[in-house]
Amino acid sequence: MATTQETQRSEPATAEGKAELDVFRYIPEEDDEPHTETYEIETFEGMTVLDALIKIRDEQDSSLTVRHSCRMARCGSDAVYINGTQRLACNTQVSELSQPIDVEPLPRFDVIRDLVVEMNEFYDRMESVEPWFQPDHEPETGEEYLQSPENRKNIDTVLDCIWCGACTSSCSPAATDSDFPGPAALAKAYRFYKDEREGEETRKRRLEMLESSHGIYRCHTQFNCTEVCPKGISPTEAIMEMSRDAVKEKLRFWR
Amino acid sequence: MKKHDVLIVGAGGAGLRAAVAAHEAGADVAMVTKLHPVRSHTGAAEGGINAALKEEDDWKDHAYDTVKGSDYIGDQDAIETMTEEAPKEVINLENMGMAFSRDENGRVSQRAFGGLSFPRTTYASDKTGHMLLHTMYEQVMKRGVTVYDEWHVTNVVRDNGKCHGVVAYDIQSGEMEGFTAGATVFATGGMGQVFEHTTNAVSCTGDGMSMAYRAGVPMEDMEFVQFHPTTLPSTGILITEGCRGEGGILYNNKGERFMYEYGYAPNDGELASRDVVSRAELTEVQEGRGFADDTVHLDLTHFGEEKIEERLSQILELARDFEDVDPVTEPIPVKPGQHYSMGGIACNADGETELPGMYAVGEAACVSVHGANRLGGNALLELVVFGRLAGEHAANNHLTNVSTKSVEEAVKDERARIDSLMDGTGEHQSEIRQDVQDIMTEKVNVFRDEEGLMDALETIHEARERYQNVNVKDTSHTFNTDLTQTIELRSILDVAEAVTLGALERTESRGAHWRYENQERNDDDWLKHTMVYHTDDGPTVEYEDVEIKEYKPKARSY
Repeated sequence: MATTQETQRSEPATAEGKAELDVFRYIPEEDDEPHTETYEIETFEGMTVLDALIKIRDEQDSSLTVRHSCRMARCGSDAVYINGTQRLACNTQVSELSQPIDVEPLPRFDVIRDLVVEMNEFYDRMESVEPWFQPDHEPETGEEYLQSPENRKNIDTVLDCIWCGACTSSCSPAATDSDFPGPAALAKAYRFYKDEREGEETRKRRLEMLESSHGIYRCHTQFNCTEVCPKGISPTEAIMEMSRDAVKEKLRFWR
Repeated sequence: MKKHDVLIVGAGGAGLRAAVAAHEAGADVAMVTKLHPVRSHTGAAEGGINAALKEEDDWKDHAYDTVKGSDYIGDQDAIETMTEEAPKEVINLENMGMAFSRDENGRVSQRAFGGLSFPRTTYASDKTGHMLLHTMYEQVMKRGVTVYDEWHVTNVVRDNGKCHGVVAYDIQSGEMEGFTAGATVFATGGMGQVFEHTTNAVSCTGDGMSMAYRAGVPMEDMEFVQFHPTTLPSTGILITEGCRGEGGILYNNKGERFMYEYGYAPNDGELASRDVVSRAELTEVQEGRGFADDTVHLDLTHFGEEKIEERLSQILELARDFEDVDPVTEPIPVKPGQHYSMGGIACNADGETELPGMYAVGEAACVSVHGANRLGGNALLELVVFGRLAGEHAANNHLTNVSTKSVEEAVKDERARIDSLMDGTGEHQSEIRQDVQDIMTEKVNVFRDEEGLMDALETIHEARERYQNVNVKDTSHTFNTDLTQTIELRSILDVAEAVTLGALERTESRGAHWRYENQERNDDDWLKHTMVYHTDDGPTVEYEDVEIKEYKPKARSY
């Protein structure tokens, strides 16, 4: 799983004991500027940052606001910025972190309130790559499309994307170019691009679409997205592979 | 005011499938969800989706397995519809691009699951729900269906004996708005948050069940609550039945394979149906053969890392991250946890409820195909089969004479109710909620008795009193989760009461419902559906016949 590399500010919390959290607080409609609220809580064994935030909300300050739902790293609601890294609050152990634990909303996203950010721009980026199955032929069997286990395996890692936004938050080209789909959307594009069921025509069309001026070549291959992905996906490698393929197609055309 | 032909409330697998079907049938369709579609709890389903796809298999065997699994209280006409339509719907998912795991011939893979006579659970690693949810949302994006996300529906608009739409609260802005619709489809999911120890998301609060109930539609068979045999003890997180389907073994603290050793399921062992395995586990614990935290051990260490990585990769992640256990080298401690509601909003196979214009589908609904115990792999199937049928029916039969005025009036009333919640001076919702969840997990769990059920009812009634003056401390109109959780708490109370009342009245043991005083199934008195109706003086219970066709009730063993 994702690990944080950070300078030790103090000893990590023990399994059972106390933890201190510095939490970003801000309601743009009501506050002049953001501020940090410090909370001290009793911890328990296995406590996650989400558990800690819920405990604060239930016992100390019910106005503290964070999106969360499944609490098992599946719904992708609770990507936040913990001690300087994009992570899911629900699968980050309090005991692993140096204190005070700094919890902020995802950088480069607009804040709606506290740790809740505006996701619509992210969703638009996802939608921009036409992330739906576009087969260019009918299934050979009349029933299902055949797909080799190897081909299915090729797309396995990117299929696990939960749309949490952590990668896109970490990506500098995405921050400066709103037409650049960003790592999550390009990993989603790769999921279809590599799926042999769509057929050769669709594959070519997808590649042409992705190499537009705001497309795959914008990636700086810094691997920030790969480092922060809570699902172990490497959008960078997916983008690099598509870029290589696009260059190869061009060479073939010129020859 | 928003206006659509068909409005789908909830955007998990069932809602998305209904939306696609309604759109294809030509209706103006929109979805409203308190989350965003991809955050829905369908994504957490792991194991798979059942369908008799293979030549050696027969949908009628699937139907029989489902009837037997239901302990004969599932409606057999609906079960036949589901199992006969299953192959078509699963292939349809594949044709929409869903990334099923593949066998060496490139066909979709299937594996064994509990209570099935044939390995017909079609899967995508151990992330089948995730793949299904994302595939369905892709189809909704492709069709440009309008989605109102992070809108919390709070009320059904009932006037002149029909449904005119809903009232919803915009979580981001705090505004309330009316949604007028000729057909309103409730696909709002389950109610696991009624219990303390559950596999369900925090958002699974039974809102749709409660709203339908308050609009006069009964909740059906609510006492039948599934407790999944393999959940992580510290969090309730689900460890898929696919582990046992692939050959995982359950051991007690004496190293015995207790499912066989103690005769709980002499033929099927670990792959008996979920109610049987959950009872066996807790019996082992009660008789001193369990491990710490009331657990037994699920052993996958004989699989080897490669097989676990390939077929159960999510389980590796979950066990390591949330229980600090490595399934490759050590057994996973597991215990039963609330997982699924067999009961729900009473409706027929087209999703129609008693209230014209109102439909229900998915876990929120009770068609009923699961009866007293759902088989693993039948929930995702229910979502797509009945999602399609409800979507089509709603598109072709939506009312044309719904009243915008009725909806406007309802918005005013709801605004007043929500505002009054902000004025309370009593306890915080989290305290009341915790007490209800605790008593439900303590007294309305796998084993039930009259005294415990009476205690639970009393706690629920007290909680209702406390709720009258509940205190929402957060005064902001922006993303006020203190308020939305307080709104959800009323749903939790309604559902908890219906579950407990149904369980108290049903003096027999059937499927997931087990009573200490009456440990046998009693078909003479109890082969019938429980219908709980809302009245101003509290719930009333009525009963309806079960649809029996080919399969006559007989003793059930695995």
